[in-house]
Amino acid sequence: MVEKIKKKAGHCWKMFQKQRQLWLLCIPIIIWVILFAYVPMYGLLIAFVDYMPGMSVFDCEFVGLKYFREFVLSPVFLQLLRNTLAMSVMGLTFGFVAPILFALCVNELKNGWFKKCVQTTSYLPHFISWVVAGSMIFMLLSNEGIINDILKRLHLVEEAIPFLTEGRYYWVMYTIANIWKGMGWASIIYLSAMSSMDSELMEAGAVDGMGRLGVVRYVILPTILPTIVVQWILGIGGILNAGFEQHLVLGNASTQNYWDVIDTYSYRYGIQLGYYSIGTAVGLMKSVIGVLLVWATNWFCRKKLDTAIF
Amino acid sequence: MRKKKSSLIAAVLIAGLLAGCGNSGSAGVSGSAGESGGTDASQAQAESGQGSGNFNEFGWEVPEETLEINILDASGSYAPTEAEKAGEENVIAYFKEKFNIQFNIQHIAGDGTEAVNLALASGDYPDIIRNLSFTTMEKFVKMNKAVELTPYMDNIGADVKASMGEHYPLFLDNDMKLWYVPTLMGSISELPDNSAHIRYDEWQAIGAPEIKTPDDYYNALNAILEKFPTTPNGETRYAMSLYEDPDPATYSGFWGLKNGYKVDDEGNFTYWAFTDEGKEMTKFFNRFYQDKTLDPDAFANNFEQWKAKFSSERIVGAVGGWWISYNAGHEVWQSMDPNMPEDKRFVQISFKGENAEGAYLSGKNYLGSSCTIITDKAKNPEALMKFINFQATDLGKAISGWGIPNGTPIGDTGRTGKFWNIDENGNWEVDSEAKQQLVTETWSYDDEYYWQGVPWLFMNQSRWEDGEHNIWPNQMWYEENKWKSMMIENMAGTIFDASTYTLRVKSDEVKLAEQSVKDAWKMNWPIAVQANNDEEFEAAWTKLQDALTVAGIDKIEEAYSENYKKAMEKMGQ
Repeated sequence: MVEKIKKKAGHCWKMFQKQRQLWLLCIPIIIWVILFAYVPMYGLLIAFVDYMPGMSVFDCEFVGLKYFREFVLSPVFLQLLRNTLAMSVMGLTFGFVAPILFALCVNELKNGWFKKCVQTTSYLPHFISWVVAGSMIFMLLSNEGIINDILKRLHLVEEAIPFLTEGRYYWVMYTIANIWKGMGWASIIYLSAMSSMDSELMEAGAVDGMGRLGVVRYVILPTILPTIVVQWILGIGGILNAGFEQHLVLGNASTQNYWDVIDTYSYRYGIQLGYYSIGTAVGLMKSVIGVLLVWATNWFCRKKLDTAIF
Repeated sequence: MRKKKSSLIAAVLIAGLLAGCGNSGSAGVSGSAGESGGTDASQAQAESGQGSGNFNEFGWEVPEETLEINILDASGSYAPTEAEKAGEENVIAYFKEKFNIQFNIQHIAGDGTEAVNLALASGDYPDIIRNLSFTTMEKFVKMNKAVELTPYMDNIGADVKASMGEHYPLFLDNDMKLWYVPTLMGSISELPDNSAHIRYDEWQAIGAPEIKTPDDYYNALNAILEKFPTTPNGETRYAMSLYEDPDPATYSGFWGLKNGYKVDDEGNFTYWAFTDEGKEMTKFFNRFYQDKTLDPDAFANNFEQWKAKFSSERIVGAVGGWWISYNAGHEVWQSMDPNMPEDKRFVQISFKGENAEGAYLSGKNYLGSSCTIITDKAKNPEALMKFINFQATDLGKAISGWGIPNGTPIGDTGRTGKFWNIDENGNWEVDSEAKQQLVTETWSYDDEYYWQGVPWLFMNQSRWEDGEHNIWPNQMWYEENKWKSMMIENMAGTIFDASTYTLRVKSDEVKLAEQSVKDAWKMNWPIAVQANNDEEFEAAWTKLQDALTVAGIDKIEEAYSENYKKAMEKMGQ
């Protein structure tokens, strides 16, 4: 065993000697990662103490898992979890598929100028802030908004549909708004994967008599599958991130039952009330669950799809 | 060669990284002049701020060397207009010239509490913090980072103590020590905070029926709606509307509750949602909803959206701050049409539930809702206390509330503006033209920014001993303004002293429960208001009560009851 370790260490050292110039170049990045990604992690200790700003974390009273318990036992925990998971799952289901479909459609466009035009236009919503998007959505969907006006004029409804003031519409509205805002931008990675595709494969498919759908199904999708899987694994890791500023902009008192998610709770209690320990505990819990989910999904994808991140 | 190159690149990158780490800033805090912090130089100057014997026309003893006052304004969300920026610059220059005081004011663009907590954590805060929440103030006190002010109260802080009057014991902690002064305390006892509103000309058009009860108000609004169902542009009108953060606790005041609580003779508090009065109040709004005369976006409007609707005459009635129908009503209409009929405006009215003893709409908290502390960074707190005390004097209040006297340029318009005049001997008067404009409501609130902006460290907004003046230029001479007189008359009896109802320093348990309770009513009260029928209403009401119970309303009721009893005891009642 010792011999084996020694052998491995020797091998590593040899590799390091061989790649020392590369390692030298990496030093600034390694320092950066240590300084800005690992050193701040000591702040996670705040989750386990009664933290008071201005005092050293080490001088604060240790309270163990008190804030984790408080969060899990809080009266709104189940509601927060429901809202977070519901919106995340809807995002992962529809929001994940939309950019792939969009990329496939754009890829089929032959006119170069038109294709670029569609692509650029699709990126624009990504650059609109949620505050502006919120105002646009209010103008569209409020009880006196454009959509309700059209529906009434077409005699499709007698009374306005309360899209913004009735909770049951919120998740759908949120998902659609997210797709509208992010679809074009998220499609870039798939378009880039498609652009690196071997064109001979497509030609071979065409020669074999595959139609457009056949080429998509048997050539394009398998080619971009690794990209899809990577995106999926990362998406699963963020399942407890169901938006934040969107809810502060789009939500109101009538719909809070449906938009209040873990992050908005954490903001109210952690930042607004100044209970950093609660905010940190909630954040840490989310991160741990996220990492576990990434591992599990990665393991599943490696077993079943033969593709994984690590 | 390649080795040397890569070594050189790595060295440059490392040097860049380390250089980048070397600078630290105070995020979210912007300084308007000078640097913050209690530097030795500024402290040395502060020390000289005592006893020159040279008094200016404001009664301030001008120090021989400049007194620097470094202030962190914790109010947050600082986004000044050009006029406000110019005003602060004018004030800073005026105080330097006349008072030999150099204000260095730091503002916070983001969340105030968050920024102060970070400042506390990093130790990067100046001599004085104003507009501080009581909870954050407690943190400074607990960590010995605030200066005790009790020893000054009988000498250099005597005017502050006199201003606090009978409420002085309520500012002291359990050890009878004073750690802060309220940034803004007192109140104008006859000025309401909240009221119901009705369009005056339309009310007259339906015969001005008497409004004494919620039913009267409901009927009057609907009668107006029936007579004027659309705006002049043909848009639908609504009898009632609300905007973001509706306040059921205040609304329940129409049914006789105080600050959202029913208080029994023993001083025990019951939250509005567990009283018949609270239920009646909710039913009142639900009635509009069921009749489809409540603005369907009542719970989705933010203030700007609501104002747009209100100013386009789409709303017949409203409840809330007395000023909302000024700001969103006739002030907008007057700016668009100077010849607008005088009675096209809203007026403030009151009504009370049939079984209520009275309507209690404006709980006056004389103790203030934020505070100013002198921090441990101040090496000569006496000099700072002296200025705080100056702000408690009449002329201190005048210059702080009314702004720079004798005329200040209004931007680059070539005009000057002022509210008051003072001569070299300290004789002062309110400018007659300014008074006339305020009484006739033609005063330009945009212009006054240019001579306003004195940082308030301690300000008492109650009327002065002369019974006429106070720090708000637009809150005097009510009797000379028909509409203000009408408001004061209509709202008489709705104002009460709520100082003993205010729980300023809260335990963690109460603070967390309070947030949970707020979440609970914010989520569930709108559902009750928007219930389609009585059955739905009852179910929503029960759900609201259940949610409040789970959220810990009992802890809050207990804390408020205890606080009330203690406060009454402190005041010897």
